[in-house]
This record gives sequence, C-alpha cells and structure tokens, in this order.
Amino acid sequence: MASQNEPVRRLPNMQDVGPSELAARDAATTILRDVFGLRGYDRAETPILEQTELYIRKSGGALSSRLYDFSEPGGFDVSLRPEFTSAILRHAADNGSTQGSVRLMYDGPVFRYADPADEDGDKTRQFTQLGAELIGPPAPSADGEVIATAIEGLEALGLNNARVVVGHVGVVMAALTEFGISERAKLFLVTSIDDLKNGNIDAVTEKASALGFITDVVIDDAQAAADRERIASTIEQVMSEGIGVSLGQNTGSRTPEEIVARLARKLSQADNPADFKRALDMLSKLSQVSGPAAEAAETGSKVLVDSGISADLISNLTEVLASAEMEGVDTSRVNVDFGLARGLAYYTGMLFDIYAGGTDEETLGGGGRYDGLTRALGYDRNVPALGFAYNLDAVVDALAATSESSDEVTLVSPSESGSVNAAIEQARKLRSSGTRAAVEFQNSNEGQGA
Amino acid sequence: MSNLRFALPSTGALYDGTSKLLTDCGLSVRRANSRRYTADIPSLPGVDVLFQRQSDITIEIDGGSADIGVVGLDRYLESRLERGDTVLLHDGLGFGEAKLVIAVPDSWLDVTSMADLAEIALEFRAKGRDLRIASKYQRLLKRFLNTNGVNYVSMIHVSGGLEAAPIMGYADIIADITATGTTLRENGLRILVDGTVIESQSVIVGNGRALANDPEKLANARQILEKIEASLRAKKYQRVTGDIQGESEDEVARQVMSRRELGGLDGPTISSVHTGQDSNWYTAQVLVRKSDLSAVVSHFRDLGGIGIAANDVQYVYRDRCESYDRLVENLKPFAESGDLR
Repeated sequence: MASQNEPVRRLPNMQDVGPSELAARDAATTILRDVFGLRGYDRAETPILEQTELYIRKSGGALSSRLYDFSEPGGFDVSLRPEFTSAILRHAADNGSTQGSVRLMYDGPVFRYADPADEDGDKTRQFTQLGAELIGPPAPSADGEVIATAIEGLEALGLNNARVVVGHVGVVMAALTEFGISERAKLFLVTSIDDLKNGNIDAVTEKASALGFITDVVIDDAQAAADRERIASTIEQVMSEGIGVSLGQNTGSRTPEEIVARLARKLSQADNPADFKRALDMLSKLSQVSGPAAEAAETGSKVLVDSGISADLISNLTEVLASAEMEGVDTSRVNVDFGLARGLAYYTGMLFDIYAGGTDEETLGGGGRYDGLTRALGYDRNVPALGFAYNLDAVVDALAATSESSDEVTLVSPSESGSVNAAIEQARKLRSSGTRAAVEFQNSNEGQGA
Repeated sequence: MSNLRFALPSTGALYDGTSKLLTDCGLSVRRANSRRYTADIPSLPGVDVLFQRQSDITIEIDGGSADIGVVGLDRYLESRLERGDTVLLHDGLGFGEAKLVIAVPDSWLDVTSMADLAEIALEFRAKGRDLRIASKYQRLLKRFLNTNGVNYVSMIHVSGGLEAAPIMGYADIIADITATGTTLRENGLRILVDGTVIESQSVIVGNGRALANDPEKLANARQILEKIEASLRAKKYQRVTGDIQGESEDEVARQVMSRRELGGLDGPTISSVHTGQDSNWYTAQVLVRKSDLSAVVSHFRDLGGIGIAANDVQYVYRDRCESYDRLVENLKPFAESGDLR
C-alpha cells in the first residue's frame, strides 16, 4: 500500500493506452466492423460486470482461476467479463432470435487474471477483444464462413499473410468413444493432449498409472465379475445397516444413500486397462498429426483406420475445410492440427487459432463451434453456435510490426519559421492538406517571442 | 537511518519457536512484561522488536510499519500483496511445520481425491446448493480448488474451531492447517490424498524497499540472518574429539583422512597431547554431520582412539551467508526504481 505522499500506481500487469496506440486500435476497429458488417453481422453490447456463474457455466470452470470475482454492493457474486461469447449467446436467446441464423459482433475490454507463477503470468490482464458469433446453423458451411471471416478481417487490415490452424474436438472425442472407455478416462486423455503432442507419452502413462487407469494386474472377465459381486454385497450390507449407524459418524449434508450410490457408480465405471492403453496409443499418434490441411486430414484418417476406427469420423472436418475454400479462403493459409484441443468444456466441433503469419508466432485470436453452450447456460434446448474473437491489442501490435507508415504529428517550430505567428500559419496550411500538424510551443517562458 | 523494526508473533507455537530460536542465536528478546507489545534485543541495539498477531505481520511489513518479521509461509502467501514490497529473507526456520489440507467427513467413502470433490461440487450444484468449505485461507484455497476443477463452492470464512464446522452443519468440508492430522481425525474428518494446498513452516520476510534504501537496517537484518543461519546449520553438526597414537601430526591426519567422508567439514585438526614425557599421542578433532556420528566414532576406535567425546556446537559459519546473498539479489529491483515490479 502506498503511503499518502507517494503516487498511487497501476496494478501489476495493467497498462495505460496512449494516443498513438489508441488511434491504431480505433482505426482497426472501424475496418473490422465494416468487414463483419458486410457479411451481415450486427453489433451488440453486454455488461462488463456479470454474475460469476455465467462464466463458470460456460468454461466448466477452466476460466475460474482467472476471474476477477468479488461481491458487489447488491450482494451478488460478480466477475469482470473474461470473454463475450456466453453473454452474447444469452442476448440472442433472450431476444428469441434463435430460430434462423443470427449474426452478432462485439468489441470491448476483457479481464483475465494470471498468477505470476504461471507460464503467462506476465501477460496484460486487461485486453480488448473484437469478435463475431454465428448462432443457429449446424451446417459445416457455417464453420467455413467463420474461418473465412477471421481471415478477411486481417487481410482488410493489411495482414496479408494471415494463417489459421484448425483442430477438431468432435473428431478426437468421437474417436475415443470408439474404445468404450469412461467419460473420466476420455477427459483425462484429452486434457493430456499437449503432452502427447510433444511426445511425452511416458509422462502421461505414468500419470495414468497413478490414477489407476493402467494397472499391471491382468483382469480377466471372471475376476471382474467376482469383483463386481463382492462390491455389490458390501454395498448392500452398508445400505441395510446404514452407513451412519455402522460407522457411528456424521455424513454432513449428504445422505448415506447418496454416498453409497455414488460409491457404487464409481466402482462400476472402472476402465479396462487394455482399452485405455489402446485409446492412449491412438491419441498419441493422432495428436502429432499436423500440417497443410489436405495432407494432415489424409494422415489423420489413416491413424484412425489403423486403430480400427472408421475414417468417416473426420468427414465433418473435411466439409468444413471445403466450405472455407468456397468462401474464398486460400487453402495454403490453412493448417490442420489434430493436437489442437483446448476449451473442452464448450467446444464441440472444429476450433481454430489465428496467426499473423511471418515469424511472430503469437496467436491473434481464435474460435470454434460450441453447440452445447446454450443448454449449459440454462436454456431449454441446444442451439448450434460458433464464433471467434481477435485479441485486438495483439492484432494492432502485429500491424505496427508490419507497417512502415507513421502517423506522427508534424511540429512546426517558431524559431525555424521566424515567428510564432508564422509557425501558426504554416501549421494551418499543413492541416488543410490533411497532414497532422501543430505548433511546437516552448514549455518555459524563456525564449518565448512576442 | 533508523532502527530495524522486527515483528514477531505475539502468541502461540510460533511465539515459542521464535523465542527459542533467537535465544539459541544469542539474540534473546528482552520484554519488560508479557503485556507489552514492544521489546528489544540487548545484543543488537539497532533493532526494535514489535509483537504482532501472526495474521497481521505480512500486512504490516507490506505497508512499511515493520521492516522484517517471522511468520508462517502459509500466512505470508495468503496475505501478501502481489508484487508488493515484501521479499522472503529466510525460507525455513525449522519450526511451525504444518500443512494446509482439505478434509472431508470420514463417512464420505466415495470421496478420496480432488477429482471426486470436483464431481461432488457439481452434484451439489445440480441440486441447487453449493458445496460449502470453511477456511481461514480464502486466497490460497480458491486457486487450489480452481486448478483442481472444483469451481462451484461457497467459501465460509471462519477464524477458529474449523473442525466442528461439518458436524455443526455450517460447512460441508474444511481446509485447515494441521501438523499431525490428529485433531482432524478425532473430529471424524479425513484428508484427501491429493488435498495438500501448501506445506508451510516459519520463515522470515522483509520489506524490500525499506531494506534496499537504508544501509543501517540492512546491516542489522544481515546480523540476524547470519546468526540464524549459522545456528540452524550448527544443529546439524557435532564436534568429535579423540586421542590417537601415531608417529607425527601428519601421519595421524592421514589415518583420519583414510576415510575422507569422515574427515570433517574442513578436514581434521590434529594437536599433540603433552603428557610430561615423550609421547606419541595426538588429539584429532573433526566437525561432522550428526548422521555421521556413529561412523566417526567407529572410525576413531579402528584407529586405536581413546577418550572419544562428542559436543554440540553453537554456530557453524561458511565462507558466505547464503540467505544474505539471496537477499541482496532480491533487493536489486527496489534500489533501481520505485515502481511496482
């Protein structure tokens, strides 16, 4: 805390935005709104402050450690918004406009805390997002439109080397389902995908052993049946004697029946280690498939077929890629990466990251399809939806790195012009021809003529 | 230039541990009576001692009303300002060891891990209520729960008697600091296998800005760190002496060093025993780790040693004071600029 005689400083990783950066951002915003507008997107604005629950429901909690959450004076648990999608989707649902296709765009500040100890701990915690949501259509052609819009926006700004990397959570999940493993096992595997992609299959195997997915003990069917019987009789006994009575304990706010029922469920869902191991091997191979779209899709289907899975699983991905091409996307700009699988709690199909191209590998934004989100937000049915957002600050930085034109103010010095009046006159002339110009006044009285 | 304000815990296990540590270091605190909140250290006139509540010490140091202090690592991490002025001066004083753990009613047979807890939180949510967790550590806990996928929780802030919360019904589970886990067990609670939020012990923290800009305070802090470091190191060592026969000092030294690992921290000291007649007895002296004590005694016996004795030592100094060197490194950002790092 600063004492009374010290200036109050900005919070860590929060920044002021100066005139030139702001001008560049405003200019980019205008251009992007025009590009999206031409494709039929209308603007919407939602509150910066929302109930924390909105964001936890959306991300399944993945964002919760990054939320700026607190109690507001009215007693609600609230957060500064970390993203727009959930609020925009709610806006569309509340206005009953989820029958046909709804196209909405938005821009504004978002807030994400990052612990200093984390990998991205030095990132700016407030940044500007500009994005678009397409609500309603389930067809792969909608996915193609969204990818095309993301690239068009960057091209309109002059980032002519923009690229996208496309992944597909739907393909990965469907492939894992083929192995008959539990939801818990699938979730474990997909959240390990970054390690698998980097070839750390040993580390993942070790962790899987620690969690009991893989055991050295060979379980045959007879033994498994015997185990199940033993568990069932134990549970029956506990049920009939009463867990609270038999253990002489308080079960808190859960009833003994709830506890026993969940215990039974947990034990019966144990995975077959052999199935799990096959699923792990398949995902390890699939996650390492990336490259130019057509080739990577081909290699991906081969991995599936080799694992005894139908290559039809990736048909949605190939249709998405084809429709992006129809929308005018140069296919050399599109890479496929089967190891790209983040945001599992809400992405259901394709997802993508956007890059400026060139040597700078920082992502400029991303998006994807999230067909289950409206139901997760509490509405009575699922509405297909997809969208993407740019990190506008990163886009503006990428522009500054490529553009050579400067928009500096020409300062007219009275000493060079002969007098203050002459300088004023010269600056007026410059302005009338469209050049930014101002008189360079001296800050002290010394040397100030007239 | 002014006195170093040294904040110490006013009560509890950390008070006892700190008093003993400082006494062992020759830095006994003189307190006029137990109700006084200020005291001094006669052997360090440039230091003022302030007795504070443990939960306030980090905040006092962050705010600049104390310069350094003894506090539990758990309290420090819970209440310090992110990129504020506090820095860690010593990361383990060897007392006040405890873990912050998450514990559930023992009767929840189906809940053994954080993954189970994440599912339970969702089940509670589906029934329209939140899983309630009672704790004094909101900040550390929130981060730990979130990173383990436990998102739907209500934090119940309780300052004492946490263990009773699930039985009394104002919370479902608790997160509390425990040294042995006994109190939790006796209250029908069980620690989750991966439910350790943080392992803590007592540490010394200080205000980096104050220390970086006042050489006198820094010099006093250094004296305290030097004494503590040397005293803590000394607890691991003993000095062993024994009389060994040999032809010369060098020859006895060679015998002792025949097992290099038992030759002491800096090699043996050999001196002749003066018996009044011609004598070939020498006294060998080595400073060894306590864990090596019996091996050294056997080694001396094998060399025909007699009069073997072992003594505790009060201080063991090395060529540098590690915690002071680290402090100097940590103070650099404060000396260079007044901005938040």
